[in-house]
Amino acid sequence: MNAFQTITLAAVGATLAALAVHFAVAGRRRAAFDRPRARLGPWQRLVYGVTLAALAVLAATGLWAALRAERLSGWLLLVHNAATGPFALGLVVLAVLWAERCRFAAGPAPALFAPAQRVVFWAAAVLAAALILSMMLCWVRLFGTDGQEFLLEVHRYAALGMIATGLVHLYLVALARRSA
Amino acid sequence: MTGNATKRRRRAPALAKAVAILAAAGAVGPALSFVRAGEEAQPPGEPASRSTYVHRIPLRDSENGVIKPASDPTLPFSTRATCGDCHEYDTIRGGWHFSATDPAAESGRPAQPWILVHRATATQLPLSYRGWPGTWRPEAVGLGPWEFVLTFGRHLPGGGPGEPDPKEIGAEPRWLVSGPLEINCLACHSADPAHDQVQSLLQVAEQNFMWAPLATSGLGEVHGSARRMPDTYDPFMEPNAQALQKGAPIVAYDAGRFDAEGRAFFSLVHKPLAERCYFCHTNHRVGPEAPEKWETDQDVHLAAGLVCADCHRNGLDHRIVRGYEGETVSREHPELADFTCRGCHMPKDDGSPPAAHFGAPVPEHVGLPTVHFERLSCTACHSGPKPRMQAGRVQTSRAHALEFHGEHRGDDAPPFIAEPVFIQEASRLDGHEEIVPHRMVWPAFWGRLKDDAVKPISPERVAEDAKTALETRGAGESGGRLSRDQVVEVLKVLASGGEGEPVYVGGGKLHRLGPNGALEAEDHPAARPYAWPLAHDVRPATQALGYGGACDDCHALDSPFFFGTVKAEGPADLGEPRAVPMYELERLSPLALRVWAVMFIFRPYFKAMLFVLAAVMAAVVILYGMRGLRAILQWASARSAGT
Repeated sequence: MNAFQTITLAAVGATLAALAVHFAVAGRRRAAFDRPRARLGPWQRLVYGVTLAALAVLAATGLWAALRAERLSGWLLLVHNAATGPFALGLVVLAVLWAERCRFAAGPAPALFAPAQRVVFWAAAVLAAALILSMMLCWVRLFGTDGQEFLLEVHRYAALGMIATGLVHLYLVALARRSA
Repeated sequence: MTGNATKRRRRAPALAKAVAILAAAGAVGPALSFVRAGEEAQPPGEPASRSTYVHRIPLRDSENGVIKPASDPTLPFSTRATCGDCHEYDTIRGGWHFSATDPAAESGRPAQPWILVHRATATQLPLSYRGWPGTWRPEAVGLGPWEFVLTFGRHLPGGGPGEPDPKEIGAEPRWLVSGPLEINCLACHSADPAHDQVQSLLQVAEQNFMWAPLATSGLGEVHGSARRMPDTYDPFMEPNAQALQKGAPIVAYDAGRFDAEGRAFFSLVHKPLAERCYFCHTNHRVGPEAPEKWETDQDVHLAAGLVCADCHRNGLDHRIVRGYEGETVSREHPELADFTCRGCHMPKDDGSPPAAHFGAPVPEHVGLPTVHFERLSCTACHSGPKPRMQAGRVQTSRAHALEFHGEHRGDDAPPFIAEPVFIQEASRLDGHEEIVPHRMVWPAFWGRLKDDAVKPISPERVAEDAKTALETRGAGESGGRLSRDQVVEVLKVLASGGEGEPVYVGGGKLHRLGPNGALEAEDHPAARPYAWPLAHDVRPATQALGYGGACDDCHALDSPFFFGTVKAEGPADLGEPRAVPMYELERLSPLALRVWAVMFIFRPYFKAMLFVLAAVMAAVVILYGMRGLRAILQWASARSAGT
């Protein structure tokens, strides 16, 4: 088992464990998440849904290769690449639409998103920028083998962070639905 | 001549002794018949100096007698006795070029086989003593060491089958007339412009095996032919008048090549010149798309001033570094990894610098995603001719005798070897799958099918049994390919004798007579092609596939790398040969490759879109990051003012 396999398993496992612990400790108290849910219009719902679906595809294909200690290639890479467009487009659209509502203001909360979801939002935005840029830079004739290896590492770890962020996001959404 | 008769007669007991030793056979070791009869000299070892040792040395015959040109010698010099005086011959015999017949020798990565070609019977059969899958042992088609040397001796450097064991010598009395085909050290190490390796073909054809090194060296001339002499002829005796009339082999040394003390000067180099290697290792593209000789470049390493032996090194044991990844596994010699492409040019996995022999440059591979290094061998992009939609035809020294004039060549001369053919195979280093360029030959031969296994029939036997069928309808030796009807006729002839059903393997199929007498073709393991990796010529970086961001060298719908084909060509005309697509040999999904290729059409737009998206995302993050920072600063400032 290589280092990244270990780190991947540890990161995903730790995230799920943390969420389980959190649910056991605080999740049962509805009041803790008793906030109004964000109401999304149909287009936003569509973009949000596509982005989440694309993330799921990217995570599944990426994790499959990572856990088998292989590089993505063949059909897996095709599917992974195909999901890149909708994911990047969706996430950027959501970032543009939600950034203002997710900002942390000194005063009262400016939007309907819970603070935890806002943290998730900004984490996703930063990680998405790293994900897209690291892959983009691999495709242009700027970096040699060492640079490419570095960019790939950035991409892998950013992807791992994005998966963890996605899990937290889904957990928070589930909790919010439960509390509604 | 008469004056030397007494001296020559003194040699007669030596031969009697050698024959007597032969009778004792295996108890005393493989090369017994040809060891020096004289005392074993203690090899002093090789000079350690890097300066070239001047080889002004006495020549010795196979009885270890010093050859004096003035005394009209009978025998040619023996490399075992002459060179072996200082360089342990039996150690050298274990080298890669000479060890094929040794069952204990490593087989290593499959390489170019000897290809038996018999035009009359449309045979092209890869042979090897090394047991590489897809090759046949020479004995399978009736080639013992004697026949093997006669067939392929033109490019044998000596040793191996040329120095058979006593058992074989007992079975084939001609060995006692021809003498052994000793390792011809000069074939590789001579730097003499007068060295003429072509003489080796001529001497082998005349069964003058032990005369071959002398004939090639230019130190003298060889006249006559052991082939014309009877089995009872003793080459160690001075030929009598009758023998001379028949054309017994005789030698005439060039006295001008010897000094006053009777020593001969050899112009030798420790590292063989590339010219010497090329005698057996030239590849020559043929066919309508093949370039003229003047249009081709040599390997980039040679162009940079290296010689083959700079990478393909060896010690006295002559176990030459072949330079493929995984050689370290079979030879348990970690330093061998430094002589692979990666070992020499690329940093090691632990980040340490490459071996960088001769200041080998470290490639930048700018813009090349690293997945390529796992899925492709270095040679896939850098070696051999650039791929074409149909793999080209190539002729090689050993398969086509490129070094010799004659009608044996021509673009349509068998065997039909194709290159480059891209095959996915397991790395010999760690087993991971990678695509490697190969040369490929499709076997074509007559055989007998029994219990679903095919056993080849000697082409000589087929030619004899089916002489009429092969000669009628104008093909066979007349230069044309064997026709389908002829194949049917020959199969009918062969059906009347022998054990097992007669079959003809060719064009990637096994052919047999159906119930109605028609020719039926089917797949069979025996019909699968034999392929061996190609590594040279290495093209310069600017001519590598994908150089300069040319992804569509491979990722395109019309890419030869994935969608090119290789035809199952053979010497029989069995209809349009099957064309095997590269993706089949690469074990890749053609649909996935096509989808991938289409994606590359839109890739520039996709890149542009992602750039814009990345910029927008980065802008959002930076903008709100700044705002967040501003808020923090304001908060800190207010808190500070409050206190």
